Amino acid sequence: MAKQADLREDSDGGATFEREVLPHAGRLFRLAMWFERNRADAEDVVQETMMQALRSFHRFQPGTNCRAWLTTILQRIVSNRRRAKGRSIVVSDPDDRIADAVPFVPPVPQDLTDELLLGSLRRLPTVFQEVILLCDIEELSYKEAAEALRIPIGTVMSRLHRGRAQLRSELVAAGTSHEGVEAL
Amino acid sequence: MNCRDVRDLADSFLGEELLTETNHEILWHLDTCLSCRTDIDVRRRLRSALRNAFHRAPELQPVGEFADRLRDHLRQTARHSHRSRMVPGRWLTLAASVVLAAGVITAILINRSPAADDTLVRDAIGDHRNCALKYRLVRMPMPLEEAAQEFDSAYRVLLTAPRDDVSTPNGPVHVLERHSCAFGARRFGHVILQYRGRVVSLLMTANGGATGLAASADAIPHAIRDGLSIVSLNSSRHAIVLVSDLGNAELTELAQTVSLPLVQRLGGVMHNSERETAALPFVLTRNESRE
Repeated sequence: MAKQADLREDSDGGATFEREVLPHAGRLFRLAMWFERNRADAEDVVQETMMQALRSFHRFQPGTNCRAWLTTILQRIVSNRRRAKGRSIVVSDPDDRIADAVPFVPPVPQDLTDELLLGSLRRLPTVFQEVILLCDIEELSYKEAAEALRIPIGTVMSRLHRGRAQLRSELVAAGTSHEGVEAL
Repeated sequence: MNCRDVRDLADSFLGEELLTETNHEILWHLDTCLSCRTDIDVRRRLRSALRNAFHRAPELQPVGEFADRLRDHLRQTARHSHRSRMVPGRWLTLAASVVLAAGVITAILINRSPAADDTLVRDAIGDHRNCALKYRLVRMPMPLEEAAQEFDSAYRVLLTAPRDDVSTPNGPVHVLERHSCAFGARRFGHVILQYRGRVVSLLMTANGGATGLAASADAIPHAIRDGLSIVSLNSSRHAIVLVSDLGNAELTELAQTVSLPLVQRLGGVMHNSERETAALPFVLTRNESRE
């Protein structure tokens, strides 16, 4: 009898995990693919994210943002892999160094193509790509992005400000050499 | 607020990260400034275009069978882990754990954690003040259906319960708004009621066994705090909290009337969900998940 109750509890927990977590696999894959640039590595990252989520599912509070929780796990896995591969992006105060490179915010081109947008995003420093992906594309709040990236909320805001400005600069630069793109 | 201020805050404005007062100041400025309106529009279009480009980029899409492979892998891992836990040598440890866990749960139910209880009450008051009364939440409320899909299917119950108009011996109750909103780290299903000229918040949140409230369909009045009365009902998985500046006795009476059908329906949701999930083969022990 006790065993039956135990199994019923197990089944419920597993099904809850599937119901809550698996619908986000596609979004997680796109993020992993963006950072890893390799399909096999991206699949490994998503699988590892899911395994960590499964192990720590008791920490997930129903009613909170499951996507943000999973994105935090994925972001940390990507960050650890990056460090292990020796291409760490952690440098001494990148924000101050990069700030000088963003003197003004130019008008953004019209008629943006997907290739132009993603190509421009790809040319940004990774620290800017990260905050733009989390806040503008995955629509995490500043607080959730700060937790995922393990940086202060003020740093998220300043990186977003500079990253968005630099993205617009990249779009202008790419747009001027792109036929049919018209400045506003 | 001048153009420079608006440009500085434009992205936070679009990200709904500003206080309501600041939002209003920006909106007033935009009413009269074509240049800033254009700038905000350009930023909005850029964000939207970027999001769409990312989510439809063919090179970023998983292959069709990836989701199936992932699900199979997770199920196998969970089953393997479950079997290894069930070897005979571990039965004694398991039995001891069960006895210990039962003791701890009993102790919790008897003593009711005042700290967890207090956190729920504090969040409920914060949400009532900032959402129902002042409409100045950091994150904008979302439709209940959307919240049900993204966070907790139980929020769907609030789409129809309580009914838009409910008669009580002391007067009618009218529903002003239904949505889901977040205060602090807690997400609520929120129904804003009007009763005897007062605003009442009916808040539903997952308790996850952590509210410290004993499971009970009876309305439990709490101590008046900051001039507000608080009454809670607790099902096994969700807490329902009513907050208002009505008197405690009056709010308790109202809670019994409007919340009882809700608790019964929540019970239905849980039983259905349990029936559905019990049929699935995926296996995960609660103990494993704590490793």
